[in-house]
Amino acid sequence: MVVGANAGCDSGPEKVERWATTENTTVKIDWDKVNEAYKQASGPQDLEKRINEIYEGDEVISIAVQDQDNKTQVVTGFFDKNTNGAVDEGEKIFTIKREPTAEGAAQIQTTGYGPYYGYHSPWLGIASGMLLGSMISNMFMPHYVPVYTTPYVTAPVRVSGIHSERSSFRASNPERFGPRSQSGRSYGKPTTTRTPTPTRPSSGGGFRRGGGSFGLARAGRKIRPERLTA
Amino acid sequence: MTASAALTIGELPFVERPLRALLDLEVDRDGPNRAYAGFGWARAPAVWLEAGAAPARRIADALVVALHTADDAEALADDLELEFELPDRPVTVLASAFLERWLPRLPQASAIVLAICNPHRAVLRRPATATVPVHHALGEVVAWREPARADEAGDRIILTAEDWCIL
Repeated sequence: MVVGANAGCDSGPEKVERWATTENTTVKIDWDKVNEAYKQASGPQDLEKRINEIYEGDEVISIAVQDQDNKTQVVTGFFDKNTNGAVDEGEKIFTIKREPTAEGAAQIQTTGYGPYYGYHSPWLGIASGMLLGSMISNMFMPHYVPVYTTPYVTAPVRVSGIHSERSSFRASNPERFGPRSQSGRSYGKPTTTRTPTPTRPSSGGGFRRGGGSFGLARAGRKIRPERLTA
Repeated sequence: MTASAALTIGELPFVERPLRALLDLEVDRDGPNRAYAGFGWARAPAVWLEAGAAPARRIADALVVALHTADDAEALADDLELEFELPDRPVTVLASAFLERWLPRLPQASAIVLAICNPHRAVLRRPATATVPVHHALGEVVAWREPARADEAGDRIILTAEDWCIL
């Protein structure tokens, strides 16, 4: 685990660390980046994208955004394991709480749950003059009205799309995600060996039947085929 | 066509085939057929793209483009060297050149799904002629079918890969 610059902010048992690692996996989250993502996000879906690009594990992090009162907002990150679009027991991994402190000023704090239990960021001050995304900066507008009194929650149907977008992002950033992430998963690693086909039982109760593979085993041939260019 | 016949990308026998035949799903087998070399295209009411433990993603109204890469193909950062097993000889074509030539000839659909192994995890560029989302894989691509769910018509057609990307 890499201990960041904030490690000395608190020497108590729940000391603040920039990086945190799960109990059951080695997937780390850079909390500085998570906090920054919230500060820069233009809205919940932009925040989903930013957080999932930060997270280096296989799971997709869903988020719930709720305005608790006029300017207090809580963002919850969770693994929607049962794909019901709600934060259920054991799914929550962090919250980011934003609360006003004075006219034109607020503070945010991130807290870890589940595998990230024990992590607390310091309260981070924000003010109306800072470069902020509209998800936060809107609260400093004169006629601001909280819009997430009915919570926004990542819809289960969006999860696959977020996963695909993140795969594209990871493939485009092999210097960060290759050759092997902290989760043990390979990203962007050039390989000439055939990788195991991901298989899993049919989820529909029937037997899954195999079809074609779209690779050809031709290694070792002495003459390569002609390449058409026109 | 003879072994010495000149052939262009546009003359490749890239034709429409029934979806199940195109994906080699007509035979009842437990695992994938890694000797399969068929290629072509098909319209699919829906295909499911599956990667690891992530939920499978349903792609409706898809144009499935099924092609092959060989395991000794040139490793390119942003392209794939496709290989076509023709009756008289194999030939290769860069995927970028192939798609630029062929996509305008194919019917419109809501999405294009490239069933092509990508062993070097190339980051493909979006074909300039594509007008809809293009899904491509990282790693090996294998076709599967499962019995339909209660609310579905026909077998579920699935393509698995390490990851699926959208261009």
